[in-house]
Amino acid sequence: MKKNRKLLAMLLALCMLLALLVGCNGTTDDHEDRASSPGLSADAQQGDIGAVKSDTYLRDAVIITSSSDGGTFDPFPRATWGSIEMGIFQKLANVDSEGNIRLCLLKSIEKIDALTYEMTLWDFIYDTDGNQITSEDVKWSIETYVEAGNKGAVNRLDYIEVVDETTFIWHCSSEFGLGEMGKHLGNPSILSQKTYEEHGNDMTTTPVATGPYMIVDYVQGASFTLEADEDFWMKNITDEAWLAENDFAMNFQNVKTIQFQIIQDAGSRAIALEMGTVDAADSLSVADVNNFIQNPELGVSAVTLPVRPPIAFYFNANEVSPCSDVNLRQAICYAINNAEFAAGLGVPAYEVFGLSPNMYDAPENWMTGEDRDYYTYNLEKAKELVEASSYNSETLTIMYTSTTAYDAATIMFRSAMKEIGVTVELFPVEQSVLEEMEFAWDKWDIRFDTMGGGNYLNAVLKRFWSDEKVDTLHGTHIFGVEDAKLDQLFLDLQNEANDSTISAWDSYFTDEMCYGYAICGYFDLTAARSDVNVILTTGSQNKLCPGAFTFTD
Amino acid sequence: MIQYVIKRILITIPVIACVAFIIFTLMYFVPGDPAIMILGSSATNEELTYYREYLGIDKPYIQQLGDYFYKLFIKWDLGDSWIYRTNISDEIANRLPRTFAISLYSIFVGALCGIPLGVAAAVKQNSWVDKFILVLSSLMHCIPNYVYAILMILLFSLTLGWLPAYGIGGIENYILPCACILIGSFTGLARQMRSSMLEVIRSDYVTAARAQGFSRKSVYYLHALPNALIPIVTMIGSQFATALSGSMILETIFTIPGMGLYLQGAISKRDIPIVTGSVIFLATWFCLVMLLLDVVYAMLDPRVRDQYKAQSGLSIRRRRHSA
Repeated sequence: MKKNRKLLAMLLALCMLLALLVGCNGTTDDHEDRASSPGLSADAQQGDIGAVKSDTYLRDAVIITSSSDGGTFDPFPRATWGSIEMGIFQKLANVDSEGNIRLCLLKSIEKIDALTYEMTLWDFIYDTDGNQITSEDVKWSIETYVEAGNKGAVNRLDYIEVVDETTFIWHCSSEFGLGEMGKHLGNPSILSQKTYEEHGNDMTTTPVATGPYMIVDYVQGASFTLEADEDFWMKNITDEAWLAENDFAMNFQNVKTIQFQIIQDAGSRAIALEMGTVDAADSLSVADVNNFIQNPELGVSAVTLPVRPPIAFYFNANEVSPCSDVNLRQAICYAINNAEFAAGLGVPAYEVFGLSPNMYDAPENWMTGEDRDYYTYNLEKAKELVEASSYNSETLTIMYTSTTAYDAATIMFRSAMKEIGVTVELFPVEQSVLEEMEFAWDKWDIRFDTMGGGNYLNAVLKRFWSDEKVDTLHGTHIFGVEDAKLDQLFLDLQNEANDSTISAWDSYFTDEMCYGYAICGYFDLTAARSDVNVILTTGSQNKLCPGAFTFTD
Repeated sequence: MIQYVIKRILITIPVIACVAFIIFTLMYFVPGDPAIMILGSSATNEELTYYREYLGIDKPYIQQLGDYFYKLFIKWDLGDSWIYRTNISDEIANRLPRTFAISLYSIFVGALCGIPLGVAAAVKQNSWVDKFILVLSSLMHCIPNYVYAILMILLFSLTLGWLPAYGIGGIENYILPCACILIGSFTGLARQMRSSMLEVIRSDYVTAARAQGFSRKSVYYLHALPNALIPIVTMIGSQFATALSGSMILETIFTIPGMGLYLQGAISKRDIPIVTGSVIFLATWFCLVMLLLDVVYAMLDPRVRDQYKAQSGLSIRRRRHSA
């Protein structure tokens, strides 16, 4: 008996040792896969310009995964449905992937002066309940949108003046900056007030709107089904010139029924695609996409959507932080090897050479690096700058929200800083805590953040402008100091974004003061069954637009 | 007995009130401003003030607590989600059946498997059956249920194509998630049943029953087993109550929109009404499950039944005496 027990104990110990050895010897050295995955490149993106509209349904049904659960279809709260364009609600206008405004509910816009625009609706816009959308509905929709806490999205709007049933005047409190008109027209969903009030809480689950698709079934947290509206009002537009200029992917009805399966786990989405139970899946992992590419018999094609803005950081330049010394800030930037970061990030990534190179008006060399010295990796120079700075071996705190990309980036950042003798501690925080901490200057020294949120540079660079925060408690830049010169350079850019104003802002912000630095951008990975011919994106958000899919069969 | 049950139900009310107070206070002091969380840091002071007023979080703590208690205990309303504006009671009503079904099936089947295994191990103590069951249950208990989830998906969904890997629908969607939970359930039950049975088998009355000439089967199953089941009932009850809070990891892997995912999402987004509402609901449910367990004890063990009666009778006699 005792002998048996001894044998059993030894066997168990051996098993545990083996498991330990196997686990320790495992490597995740797939840098090659990350850096050079076949089929994964920025060129693979599909553009909405190539969208093909069909007069008949190309397929009866298509099933897509949704990686996020918005929780509600009410258009006014800030729920998010991730990277999918549903086609339920419509806006006054949309912005395509080239930054052009494409009218939707609006038939025309006429500029009266810098602050005033006369806008005219089509006079046959009806929702699925049969209620017409009028100017009063537009006014009500936008006011309700603002009251729901979305003032920031229409911050230039002063008020809307209704002229008649289809005409209204848009009064601005200040002039639109570059790209801001598209944001104002393309964000608020327009609904019939009568319909909204009649349906009440039902709007959260079965909304009634003017879009090409309507919800016919919704199981909260699990799935929802859209069906093409047979009486879609845009079918009655006969103005070919208007259609040629404005109609695009978001209004197409190539598919009769679209079912969305809410699958929040990336692995489960990949399995669903492999099993053939869905036709397309977004936000997949590199490993899964590589598997699809290397095994074409699985019948899945991969496409990348370069939707993610670059990973970047900015410094706390407040006097309480060691990063108030520009020499130290520049030293840190010189110590970062962008190419290695991009390779080691864990997702397909690309180097960048500017704060927001994916904006429509960003200089081309912010993406290519041509003729641009964007703190090119130079350890010796970095060490010299550290010596010249007032840095005295303090530990710098990096604050960030924990995601796969940031976790990897901050760890690599810490290793890079060791090489120049700068000590760094990581301080991951939840989003809710981050909002409270971002103006606590004694709590952090470097903040990692994405530099996205818009189509044009002014939307991003506005973060570094003190007037952006003047109405809040803070009244200063997000990096802890007042800088009147930076503010003026931003205002010049805001008024007219051209090579000169952009260059002036960038030269001061990046080269002279080094307030912030972008490391690399990364791709969102989407895949579809091979018979799904095209995955179309729409607008600058690069969302899937399943209503506009075409198919090989 | 009925008096005892009524007394327990009445005691539940102050318990729930305490839970409501504690969870409300904890969420009140948790870091993070919900208004900033919802509107973002680019919101102006004016917008934040308006939204705090809209949410009702600009009022003093006592007033907020009073409003919350009024809504909860007088209006029976758990409130609306701050982010999604959906009614929390409706959401729980939608999600609970899924989590409930998975918990019930897995624990029921787990008990059906675990109890006989435990009895067999105890009856055949120190034999190869006993050792095999012990080793197997120990090994299987060590592996987390999400590992089983991934392995089962790979085998039954991807390779064999027998069962769906995700989602809700027919009974086939619940087989894999139930299987993952029941493995943990039955392994624990088997071990507990074994030790409980061994303890009872050594009792005097079991020896007496054997001496009186009862067959082995009737000794084990009529005399020993009912007494050995009492700790098992406790274990099943607590497993069930715990499982109702939802396995967040399993619900994520299998994409089952149940209570676990609901609570997890609310915590990360600081949707406080969902957190408080869900916790209060689960606390109420836990109390009811414990009450049910006590009733089952009474059914199994006449001594417990008499004890309950005595407690109820004692309190009545005390009242009569003081009157």
